[in-house]
Amino acid sequence: MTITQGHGIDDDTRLAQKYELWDEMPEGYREAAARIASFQALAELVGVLPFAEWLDRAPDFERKQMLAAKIQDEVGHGHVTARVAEDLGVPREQILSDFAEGRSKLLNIFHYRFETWEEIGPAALLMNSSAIVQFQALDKGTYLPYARALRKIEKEESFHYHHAIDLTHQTMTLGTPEQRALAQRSFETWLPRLLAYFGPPDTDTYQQNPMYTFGLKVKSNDQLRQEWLTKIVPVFRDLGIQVDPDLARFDEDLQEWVYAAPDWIEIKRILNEGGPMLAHWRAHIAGTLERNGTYRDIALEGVPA
Amino acid sequence: MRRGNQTDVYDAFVKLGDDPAQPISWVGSVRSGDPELAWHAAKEIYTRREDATVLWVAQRSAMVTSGPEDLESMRTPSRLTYRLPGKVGRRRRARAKLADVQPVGGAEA
Ligand SMILES: [Fe+2]
Ligand SMILES: [Fe+2]
Repeated sequence: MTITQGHGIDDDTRLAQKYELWDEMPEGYREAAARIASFQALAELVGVLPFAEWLDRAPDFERKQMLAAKIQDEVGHGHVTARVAEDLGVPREQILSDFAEGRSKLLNIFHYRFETWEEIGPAALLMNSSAIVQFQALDKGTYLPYARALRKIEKEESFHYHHAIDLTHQTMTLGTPEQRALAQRSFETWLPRLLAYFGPPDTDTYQQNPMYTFGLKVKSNDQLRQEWLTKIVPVFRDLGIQVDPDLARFDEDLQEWVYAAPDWIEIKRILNEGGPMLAHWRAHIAGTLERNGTYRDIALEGVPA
Repeated sequence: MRRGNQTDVYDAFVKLGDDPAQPISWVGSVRSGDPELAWHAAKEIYTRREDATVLWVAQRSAMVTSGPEDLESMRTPSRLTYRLPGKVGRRRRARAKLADVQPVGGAEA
């Protein structure tokens, strides 16, 4: 299909030249690296909100501890990626106020909230596993400060992944039939959202995309989507979740996953106009910025030189 | 080399794991208005999963860091060959040959 098929990351010439903050970079590279880091910082900081609002509703103490750990981890990921962006000239205040004031977009999966506790496990498992597949490719990228940040993040994502498995396992083993049905429904609701999260199907020209030629994007959307399905579908089956072949099945003849195509028109609408929770998260971030503004200004003003 | 100019950025250095012989390594940075708070932020952000035995933070404006222009001056083998054992070894072997005696201290030194 394309020349990179079957072509290993190790011998990919796009990825041979790496950059540190202080290196000279090709025209447009610095801006592209800043964009990818600030985009992720926002995703980490807003993406944690649907989890954070369940913290005081966690059903037992250990679960609450684990959820708190995950939430702290995610905010830490926001800090680490924001530092990468800040060193490249995009301050975190700008990342957050651009979002609060409607100048930046949010990944489609963060436009929702969890309606039930049982929904969280499968949704978090789909989210974490796709993030891990993305990061494991991106950490081979050419901007080293970002690659390093991702390798740190991956260790914590591995805990989130196992925590999400455990949460789903608890519902599927000890839950009532109604609770198991909620977990099943969560899988069916979130699978198409996560399929869309990997981005539109590869075009014939994706290799000319500057993010790709710079080696900041390492693999194509379809490559990553296929890798992810290979990894995650068996995990859900083992947990007792039914994977409807119409939603996703491995086609032996094609040797690839065939899945129900996300409704790309609806996805586009959500990205442009916002999904059910966008206004709420915006207001939350705007409120936090305002409430903490005084303290932040005083703290940064009193910086010892 | 250049002097840092950011007063609200602190670089973090840690030593991880059980092996006390490991060097202290740079792991990243935090932003803070206060040195002690910077240390706490670094602890919360950079030592979440491994045991750290050392954690330092340094204000970036107090650091002097190398740049690409310093690369040549930091490169030892090409610039300071007279410091390397290979160079003196070659001198000794050449001298022994001229004087027609056995080289001292092994052929490869
Ligand atoms: Fe994260
Ligand atoms: Fe996570």
